[in-house]
Amino acid sequence: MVGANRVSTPERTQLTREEEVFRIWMRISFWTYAFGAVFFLLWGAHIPANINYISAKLLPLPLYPLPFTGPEGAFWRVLAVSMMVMLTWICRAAYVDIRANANLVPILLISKLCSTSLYFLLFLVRRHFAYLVGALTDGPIFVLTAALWFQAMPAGNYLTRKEEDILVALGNAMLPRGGAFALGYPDLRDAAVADARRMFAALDTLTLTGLRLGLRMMNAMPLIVDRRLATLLKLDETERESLLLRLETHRWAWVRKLMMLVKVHIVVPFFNQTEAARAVGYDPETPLQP
Amino acid sequence: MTTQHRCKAVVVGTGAGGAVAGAMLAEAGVDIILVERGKHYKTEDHADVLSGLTRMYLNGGVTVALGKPPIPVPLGCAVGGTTIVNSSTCFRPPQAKVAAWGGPTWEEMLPIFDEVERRINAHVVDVGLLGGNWRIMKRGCDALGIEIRPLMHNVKECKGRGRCQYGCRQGAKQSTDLTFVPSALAAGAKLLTSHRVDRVILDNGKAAGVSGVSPEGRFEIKAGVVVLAMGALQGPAFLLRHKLANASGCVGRGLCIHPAARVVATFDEIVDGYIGLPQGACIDRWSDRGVMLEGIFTPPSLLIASLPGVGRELKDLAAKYRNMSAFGVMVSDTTTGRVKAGRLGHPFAAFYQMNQPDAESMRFGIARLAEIYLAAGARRVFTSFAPMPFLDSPDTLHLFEKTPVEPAHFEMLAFHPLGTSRMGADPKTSVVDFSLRSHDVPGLYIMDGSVVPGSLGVNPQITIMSLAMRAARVLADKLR
Repeated sequence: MVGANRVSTPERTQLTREEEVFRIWMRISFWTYAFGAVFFLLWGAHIPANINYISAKLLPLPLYPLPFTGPEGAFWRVLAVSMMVMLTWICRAAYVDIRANANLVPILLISKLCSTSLYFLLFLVRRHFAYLVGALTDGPIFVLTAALWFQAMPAGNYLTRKEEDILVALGNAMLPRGGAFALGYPDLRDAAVADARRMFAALDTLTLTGLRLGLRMMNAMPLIVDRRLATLLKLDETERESLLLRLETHRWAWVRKLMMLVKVHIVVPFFNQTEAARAVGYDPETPLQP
Repeated sequence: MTTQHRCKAVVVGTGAGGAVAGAMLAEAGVDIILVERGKHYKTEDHADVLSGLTRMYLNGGVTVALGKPPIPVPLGCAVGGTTIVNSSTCFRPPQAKVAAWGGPTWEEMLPIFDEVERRINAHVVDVGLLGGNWRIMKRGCDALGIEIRPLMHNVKECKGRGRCQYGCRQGAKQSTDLTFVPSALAAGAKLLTSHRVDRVILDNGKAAGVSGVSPEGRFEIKAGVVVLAMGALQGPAFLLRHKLANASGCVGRGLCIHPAARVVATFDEIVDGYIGLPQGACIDRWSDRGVMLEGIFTPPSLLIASLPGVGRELKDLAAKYRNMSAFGVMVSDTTTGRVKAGRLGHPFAAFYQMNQPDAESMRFGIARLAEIYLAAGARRVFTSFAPMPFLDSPDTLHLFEKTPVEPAHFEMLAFHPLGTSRMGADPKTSVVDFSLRSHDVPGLYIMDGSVVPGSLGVNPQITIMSLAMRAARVLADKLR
């Protein structure tokens, strides 16, 4: 997977349920784009006329100026068909070997995001029904593909490299070295992150997806709460600590809850390490003195 | 390929309700199968706190009632259900609550309480088992003339290692995986673990078995009677998803959770609150206004995560772990929430918006605990209340009692979901009758916390077990 850390992931041979679902979606997408490519090639010139026909019947919108039926139209159709062929190939590669080729999916996502945005903007400016049809077709495809891809990404319930970096940055700020006891998150980073992964692995897809989005939102907190063009990863440790303190007492309840959720996934794995537990005087073998 | 089983009664769930029902039926000679979604852990399998959280809790302990604030409601997911991760605290239900049900009388329930308590070895624990947390609280209570008393626990040869909620490594806690489940198995019951039921099989409108998925593939159990004991959150979500037993429209409604908040205090002296039974004692002086104070202490990972601060400030506080005492406030809620069918693989969706009177009760309970801690010599008392995260003097306590509160101000947890498939005589206002038999679906029984009609104000395992025992005996008589 893209940027994912495989190091401490247990060996996996079977696809996860989320990977299976995404694989099915890629198969459906393959046939859709393949059909689209052939359709564009053979009947592409007729699409705007047909949309205009529907628009004239249903909506009081200006009609899309019918395009060139001559050589220039063929020029643009070649580009459309070639893009459909490229997307068809990406979908095929993804469903044939989802783990090896999932890193191609962002190309598809960027393409759909770009077409959705441009169609939508053009619709706002020119009010042609054809642009709305384009946005309403590519938009849902983009959302669904992105959602299923994001869910399939944590195959084996591990974090992407970026999410792990955010988690570690938060851990380093929350439990720095020195102070009341020397040990800090940086000293136990590998073990603490491995235990955090155990916690993530116990979550269902919905919760895990929410938590991963929460981590990314934490990275954007300088922008969200301070309106500052920076990410948490770009701040130095003192700034991070000060930001986290403010988040913990923030007036928005959802910010406080997110902070608490993240704190649990940092503090619990850290103090689950014997060295850290002993540093605060915890010895589970100490007998009870009646 | 679908694996087929056949039996006279199938019981889904092995927690406080299911395990008891299973044992009663099996001991009466009924051919039964117990089906459990989670795994079967032995005492020696219990390892670190994180293993407990990630293996024995549903969804890693992250199950939440949504509202402002969202309230985590951790649930067990293993043979033993939530009894494997509870604090082993045993209370009989308040007599007035039993009377208000309008079903079995107190006198009828008394011998059942006795039997349940005997079988799980529930008894009032010796104060010697309560450790430093008790010592501190007793000192504060004595100074204020408040009674504090040891609680009844279902433990045997407890060493007070303070790990009840993550799987007792000594096997001292007599959860149902060590009591009723073995009894059921000894009497001939069959246990299927890691089997998740996803459907009730109906035959002409009558429950005729269940089917679901296991690691080996799909399974189907044909049975004359189906007992659902999936708990007050998963159970109604399951019924709603399959449009079962809900002619009354009551399934999923009336959710009570006993919202709770933790109050932590730091002292100059060593307390070592982690040694001893974590929930060893209670103060029930304010139970008439719905506030119960009960001990709670956890290993450092979870306790420190609940404290305010980050960075050096958090580490300074964490270093005082041995100087901490902790107690909890539990509110007998007047709020009711709702459970709906889960989506996207999540087993349920619970909604619970705490009302203002309950928020006031929570503040009252926290204030009483702070008062006791300050009387015992606490340096600082951490409140779980966002606008005033800690108190350090009677003046700050006074201010706290005057500060306007909103539910969203509190950091809460809840452990006792109840009331979402309530029992009652009237099919229009209840889901099951007093024998816990569905009003609508012949052959379908519900034996878990969901049948308890409303908040109890005390830990509910004895109530759930006793209701299941009574109902399962009635059922066994019919099936024999």
